[in-house]
Amino acid sequence: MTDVFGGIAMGMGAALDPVNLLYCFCGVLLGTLVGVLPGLGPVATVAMLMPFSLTLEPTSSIIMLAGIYYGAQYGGSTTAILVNIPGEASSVVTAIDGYKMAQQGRAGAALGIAAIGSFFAGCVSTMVIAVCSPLLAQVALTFRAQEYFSLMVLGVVTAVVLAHGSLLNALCMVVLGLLLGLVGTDVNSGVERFTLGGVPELADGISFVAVTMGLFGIAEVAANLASPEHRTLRVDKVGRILPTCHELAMSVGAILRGTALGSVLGVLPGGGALLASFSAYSLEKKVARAPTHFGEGDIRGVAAPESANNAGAQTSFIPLLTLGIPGGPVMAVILGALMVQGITPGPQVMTERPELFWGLIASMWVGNLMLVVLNLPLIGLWIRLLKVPYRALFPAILVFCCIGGYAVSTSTFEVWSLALFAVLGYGFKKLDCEPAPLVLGFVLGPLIEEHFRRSMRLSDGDPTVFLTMPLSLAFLVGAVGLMVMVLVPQIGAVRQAAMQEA
Amino acid sequence: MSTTLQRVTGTREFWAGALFTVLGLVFLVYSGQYRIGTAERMGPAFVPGALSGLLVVLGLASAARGWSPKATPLDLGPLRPLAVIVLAVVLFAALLMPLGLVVATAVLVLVSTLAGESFKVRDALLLAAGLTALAAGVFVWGLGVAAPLWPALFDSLLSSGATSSSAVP
Repeated sequence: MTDVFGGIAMGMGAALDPVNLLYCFCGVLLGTLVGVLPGLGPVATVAMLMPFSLTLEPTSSIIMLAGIYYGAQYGGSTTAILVNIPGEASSVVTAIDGYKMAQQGRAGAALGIAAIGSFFAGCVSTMVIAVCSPLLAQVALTFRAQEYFSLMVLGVVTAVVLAHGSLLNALCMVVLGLLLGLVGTDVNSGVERFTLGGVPELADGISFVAVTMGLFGIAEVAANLASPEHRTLRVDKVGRILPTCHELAMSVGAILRGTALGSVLGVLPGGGALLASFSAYSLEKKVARAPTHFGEGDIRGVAAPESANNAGAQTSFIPLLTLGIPGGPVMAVILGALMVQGITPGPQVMTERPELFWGLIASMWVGNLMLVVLNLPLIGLWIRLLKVPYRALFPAILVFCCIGGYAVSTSTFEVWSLALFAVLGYGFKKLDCEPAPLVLGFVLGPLIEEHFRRSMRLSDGDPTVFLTMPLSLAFLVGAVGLMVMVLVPQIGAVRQAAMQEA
Repeated sequence: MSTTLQRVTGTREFWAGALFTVLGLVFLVYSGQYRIGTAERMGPAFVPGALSGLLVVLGLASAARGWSPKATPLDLGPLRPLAVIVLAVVLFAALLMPLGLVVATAVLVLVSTLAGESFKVRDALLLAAGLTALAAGVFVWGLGVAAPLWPALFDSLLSSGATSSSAVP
């Protein structure tokens, strides 16, 4: 425990450093700014804004990226409440009651409770990270290749199970992602694989910025233009921003439950904010005291999922920081950014780069405070931004994607890849294949292969090594269990119903 | 017979499966170039070979769902927005190095405005000018992205070093 406090003190020192404070502020502001734009979720936002952070030193860089992430998350909720277009899956449930509240002229209260809930959840989950990460990192230090391999398999399977639409398509997407991740130099033999006859830019692999921006950014723009939605902005009356005492009292339970649920679910590989907000909403519907009017503007229907998704967004850093394994596509992008900086996330980061680790944790507190301070007065600005017509907005998105993609490695090859992945992404969209599993597979591909090969080498080619180690066995059993749960018809139907509810 | 085939090839399931099968085959054939090795000493082809084989099997299973009566018809939607946007991105990629960021960005914006609802020429030009200035300001001056601002020709004529190609991040 004393370590934790020492760490937090050190982290506060790093986070309150004026330069880092500035980048935290920039991250939160930019993240919210882009996150507010309809159709741009946190993955696209983080990928699009990543080039801004790469020129910074690593601590400032990850602080800024984290700020962008929760800014984007919050911005997405703002859009969900005001225009009923959730920028991302995790604010889908917020839109249900939030938009109804906006229609009733209570947009202010919905936005206010979202901010308050998020802030509270952020504070609690940051504490969870501070306490749990060192413990988990201790365990992680005992991990060998088998455990890493099995854990990553579990992560990939979770991503498949949680994907919308067909399970088979999600499986295909993961496998394709793993394969795309293997493009480039094979670290064991030095052979360049799938580099299309030795294209030098492919030696380091396909750029994940091109993949994410293509799939989530440009393909999204094309799809939005192909089926223009008529946005109806409900901002005639935002109403008072601070919720009334009655509303606040009603929401306390929802915020607490949402925070607890979100903190736990965020840690799960493949889980994160999405699973958290869905479960929090359904839990709230079950346990909330009457009178309930969920679906018709119940403030608890905003408070619970918003607290949960922010808590989940924060705690989803735990697997990345302690194990080096990204739980979802956003963490995959952040992992990529850290690797560009020459930092391989894992249990060793805490001991080798304590200022980075604790600085990030402390900056989450600071960043969450900024979110509240920034967002409540700036709601007017976000509303004005939402009034900008999409036809003026999408060229700006394209400009950012193209120049950002180029800037990551100063090569136009990335822009060509971007165009290719945009076409693929559009196809996936129309073929009902969700891109998130592909991105996770893409980032984990080289790691999974490496740990698989290492385990097999150490076991002299005996594949039972994954089953004889208790922890590794537990992860694999978990993965199989998840698959079975989805494949068994009754439970599969429940999954369908849960997805339908959104 | 032909009607069944028409129905099947008009489904989302069939095309998703076909896409994965083809991509799997490409990776499978490509993996053939590398050494497979043994389970204890895997060569570069071992893991990708196994994965691409798996992708082919899964892809075929996915395509088979196209025969199910519950299959969904494929609707690609209007393809013009995608085509125009991809063209704009490709033009940007092709023009950035020879003509510089200003021209490439302006072309990107102008071409992309053809993708959506009709733009007034004046609005499109204004948007292009604004976004180009923003891009140059933010990325080249602000972030020090190493990109030529103007055509290489200008550069050699003026040789004033006005292009900002500052340090690579």
